[in-house]
Amino acid sequence: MDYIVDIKDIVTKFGTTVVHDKISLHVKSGEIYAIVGPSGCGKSTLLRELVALHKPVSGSINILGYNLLNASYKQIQELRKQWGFLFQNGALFSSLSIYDNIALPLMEYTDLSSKFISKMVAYKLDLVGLKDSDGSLFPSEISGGMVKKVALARALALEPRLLFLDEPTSGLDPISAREFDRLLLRLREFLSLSVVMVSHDLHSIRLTADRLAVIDDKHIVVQGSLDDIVNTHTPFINAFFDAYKDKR
Amino acid sequence: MAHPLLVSHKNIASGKIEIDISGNLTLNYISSIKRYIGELSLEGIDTVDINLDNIDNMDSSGAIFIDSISAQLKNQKINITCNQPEIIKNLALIHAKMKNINTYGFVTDKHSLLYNVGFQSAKAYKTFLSFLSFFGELNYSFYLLLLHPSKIRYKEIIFEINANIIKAFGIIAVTSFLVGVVVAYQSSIQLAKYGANVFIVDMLGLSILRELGPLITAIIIAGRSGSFFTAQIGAMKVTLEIDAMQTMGFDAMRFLVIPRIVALVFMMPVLIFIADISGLFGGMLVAKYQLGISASFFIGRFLEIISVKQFLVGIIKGPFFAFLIASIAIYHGLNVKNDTQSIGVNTTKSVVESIFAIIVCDAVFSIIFTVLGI
Repeated sequence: MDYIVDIKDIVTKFGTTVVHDKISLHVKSGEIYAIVGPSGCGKSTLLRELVALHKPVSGSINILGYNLLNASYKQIQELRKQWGFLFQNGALFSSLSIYDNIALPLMEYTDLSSKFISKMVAYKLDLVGLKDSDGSLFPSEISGGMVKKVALARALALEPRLLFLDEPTSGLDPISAREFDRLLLRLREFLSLSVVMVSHDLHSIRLTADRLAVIDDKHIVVQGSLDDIVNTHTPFINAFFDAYKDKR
Repeated sequence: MAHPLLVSHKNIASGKIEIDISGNLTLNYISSIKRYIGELSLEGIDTVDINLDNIDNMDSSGAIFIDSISAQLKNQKINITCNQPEIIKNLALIHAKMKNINTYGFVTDKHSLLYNVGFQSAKAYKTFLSFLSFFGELNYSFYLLLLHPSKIRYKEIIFEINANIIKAFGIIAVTSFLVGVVVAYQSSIQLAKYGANVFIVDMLGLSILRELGPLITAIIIAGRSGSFFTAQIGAMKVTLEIDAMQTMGFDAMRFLVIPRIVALVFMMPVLIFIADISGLFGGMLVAKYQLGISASFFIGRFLEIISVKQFLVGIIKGPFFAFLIASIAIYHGLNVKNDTQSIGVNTTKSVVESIFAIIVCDAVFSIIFTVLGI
């Protein structure tokens, strides 16, 4: 099995509202996979289900070789060390400095010396384009773009193989957003990451995503490369990808 | 993790050792290889060859480790060999990066005692000034509202009265009832010794009406509404709701602060009245069953001994206590910074400081009443 994420027939309900009706998709190892769809279609919920924050009603989720929905607590804990999640608003721990935010998983899960950890934190900060002197700042003292970068550095702290991004470029100015895209591509090459992201940013999708899935009206409308998607016609795809067609 | 890390070493010449690392050179295995190297006896060895030919996988922490291995092996010359171009490339990249990175930025400054004392004093002084400024702003807004009474948010005031006063009736009544019972019970034993049973009425009447009723009410409201105000307004600050209100021209003083203060100040006497009644009722029950003083006798003596003045002395404190509770709580709420920690810190401060302020205020009232001979 070559898929790093393999979802089959996921059904999600909130009360009596059906959010996903038998959704299936798979992500290959090493690829950047984007999930798009109109707001309220359950993209973020799907992402939350992939990291065991929310349980679907039925279906199966296979991640990194584990069957997520039948996994024991111990297995899920093991999985949690192998993936990173970048929340939309960063979700940095506001009582910890930036340094401690990134060092926390390392201090908790490894028995490395604090000196080595500080080296790794410095490297991770450099990787996402921050200075080591930023480490002593607190989340309330930094800008929105920096919050995203720190959150990314924290998500990368445990050297994950799989990275989940929830709207990584939302709230960033276009320059920072493109910078983020390039950063993502560089990281993918350098750390051999697989990435699953939810995004509304067409530029970002075009630049980074290898394949994507469009969720609309509880179903996956289409899954494939950007060209496959653009050649499919639904009201949402036509509206969303219009800009892309113009630019080609 | 199919292939865990394997480390082995062999002496290949005198003074020369080869360390062979194979498998996964990843985050989870770094400390074990570090330990392995730490336990090697390196006496008389001046060259260490590190062979990475059989590495399956290396992540950036592994690369950083290899790059910094010279820190662990200070006295030896280190040669790193690997036949995988990919790994060589990553090592070179990391090496180039790590050269420019230092970790000095993480050292937090330590200061002398004198510096800390000065810093904290200046901070306390600043806090005091900012409270004064809040107080001034509050009075000014209040003055403006008195000039234009139509701008007063009556609906909010009624809402706050319901949330903070009416819904507190139960807890205030039960608490003061129990305090009345306790006070009466404790003193009845002493009074019975002297055969002064009847003085239980004087004691309860004076202590509950003048002190216990107002104090208990104020302390419960400080814990209940004080913490509520601070946490609520603090959370509104964090989610930028207050900024949003400001940009829409809704003055925080008029919409948030004054309705809460007015609600508490005007309705606190009602709560104290309830506390008085239920406290006295508790005392009366104990007097009947412990000292054999009937309810009608209790009430008769009460009317004869306790003047209305005693009741008013307690009631008059209410608005002052209420003002202290509400203004301290809201002040701390508005001072919440943009993080979750400060909501907790400020809520604690708000409750502790308002209870302290209530007790200081009560002491001041005692002195004033004594001087005035009330």
